[in-house]
Amino acid sequence: MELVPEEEFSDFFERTQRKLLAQAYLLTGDRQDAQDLVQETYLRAWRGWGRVAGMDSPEAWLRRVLYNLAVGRWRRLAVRRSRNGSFDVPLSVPGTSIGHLDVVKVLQSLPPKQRQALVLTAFVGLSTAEAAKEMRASEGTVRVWVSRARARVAEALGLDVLSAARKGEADAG
Amino acid sequence: MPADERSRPEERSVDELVHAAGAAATEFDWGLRASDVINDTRRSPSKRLRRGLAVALLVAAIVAVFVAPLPQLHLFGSKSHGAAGATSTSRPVGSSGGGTSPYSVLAVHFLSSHTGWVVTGGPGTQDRLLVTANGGQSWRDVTPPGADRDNVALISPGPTISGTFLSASTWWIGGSQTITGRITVYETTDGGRTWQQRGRTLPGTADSLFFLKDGHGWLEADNGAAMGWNPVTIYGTSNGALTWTELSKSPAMPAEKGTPGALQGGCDKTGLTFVNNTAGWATMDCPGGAEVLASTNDGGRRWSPVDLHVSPPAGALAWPAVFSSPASGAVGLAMPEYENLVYTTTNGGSSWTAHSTPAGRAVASAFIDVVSPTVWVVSSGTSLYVTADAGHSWSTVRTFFNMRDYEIDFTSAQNGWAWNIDQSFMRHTTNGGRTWSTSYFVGQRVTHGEQ
Repeated sequence: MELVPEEEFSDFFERTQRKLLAQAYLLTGDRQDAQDLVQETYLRAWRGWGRVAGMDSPEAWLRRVLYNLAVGRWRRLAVRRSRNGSFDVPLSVPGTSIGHLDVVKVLQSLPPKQRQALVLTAFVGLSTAEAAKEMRASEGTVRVWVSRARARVAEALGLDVLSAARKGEADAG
Repeated sequence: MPADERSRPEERSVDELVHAAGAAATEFDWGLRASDVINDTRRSPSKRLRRGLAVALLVAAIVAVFVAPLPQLHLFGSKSHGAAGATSTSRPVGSSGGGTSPYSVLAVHFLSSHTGWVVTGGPGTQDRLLVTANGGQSWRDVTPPGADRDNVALISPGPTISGTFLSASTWWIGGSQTITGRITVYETTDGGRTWQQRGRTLPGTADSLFFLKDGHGWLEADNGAAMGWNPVTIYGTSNGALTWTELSKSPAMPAEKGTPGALQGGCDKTGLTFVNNTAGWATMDCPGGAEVLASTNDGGRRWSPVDLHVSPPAGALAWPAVFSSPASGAVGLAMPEYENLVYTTTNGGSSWTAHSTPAGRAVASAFIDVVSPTVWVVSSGTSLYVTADAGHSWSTVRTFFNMRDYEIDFTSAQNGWAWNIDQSFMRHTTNGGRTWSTSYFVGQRVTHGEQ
């Protein structure tokens, strides 16, 4: 039996919302902002459900809308930061360990596209090619974004990104 | 989170840490309900919507008043850029002469200083393949008729365009249909005036396409990926893409097996290069350190890792191998904060020699364009480093724009292009980066150029 739009949307919502919320949280570093962005994203999806439901990948559409909304938020925050001086990323999120918070905090220091590229590949699970398609970038560009993001995160978290390379040299004698 | 995630961070890759943080967030009680969303939109028009419309109208008004009348050249301040601006050949090629362009330059590939291809696209627009025969003075839209249907991506995969351009007239390109998830290979022998779809469609996304002049070709098809796992299937043809044979297939998941000797499933594949019907090279980006180069001696069925005596750190980038003969080749390897190197071989890969580049230990990854085994161009920040003698001597040029977000494609130590996928223009230099001119791509549809 064919589902009515409300049921179809509810199924889609239940199937996708947790991952989208987590993605929003990684992108924003703030639980309330993530929730607001995701709610706005689903509002837009529901308003255009007749079109969104027929898309090849409604999930990809959700991620793009979420990212665009997040970028708008970052621009507003950047203005606020320039007016008010320092800006602290909220970190007090119940239910997560400090380790995860460290990661989320460091992600906020990345430029938006680097952040999105890393989240799409490392968390959402897209290949570089898929992320490139979703971000409308060439794969080479996405590779560089992800590479730079990984390097910055590794450095900020104190991961020794050089040890492996030096070990390789030592092994080679 | 397991305790060991915190206690031994050095044993965790960045990707794993990000994934673990996201996975933990999925466990939050977010309190969102589908019914809230549905009920919210029934309050019509909502305050939220009215506010959004007001903002949109305000933005549109600001754009109409302040932005639209500006000539495009003014956006880039030609005089302040010295010689680069003075030599600008600003040249809209679209049917609409002004306004903001929906096009972005997605990929650029030049065969010579005169002949090259650009793929343009943008949100809501179809990828278009444009060709120039006069170094970018004018362009023709040569998008294959079959590829301009919805959702066919001409780029992606691969470092530039997923195609092989053997000469000014004979090319093969791969189009990836996102709805069906299948690859179509197109061939032209008259410079894009007519195209033929070749053979059956193949599953996946065109990652890399490489042809030799005798019609032997290889297609690296991306089979979809998750969590840094990037399985591919290598297909081969001996008749110019009329028929394809599956040569090797990576394991689809970490616990599964691929065909014997297939490329590993981990690591993003970045390119295929063959020097004859049997000998070829595959490059990969491997976060956390692993092989970046593999070789085959049986035409692509079995691959072996190549020991470059370095374990690339997180963020390492390997560019496709370039060979001028079966013996002589080079591979660029950028490793953020560690080293940016070019590896060369003069014995068909039996041994490789590492060459440092002036980019040295740049914090951010450099772009390394190996034009030939002896001509290399490296961009890092506002510096462009060029060598024409395999690294014995380098010229260093300061660019007026930050090359951090630019990809580069050079055909010689003097002649090259730089583009940023967020922009609808590309820059061109004919003197090793000392000065740059700019070409713009505007308009929804590109009219034929003046070729």
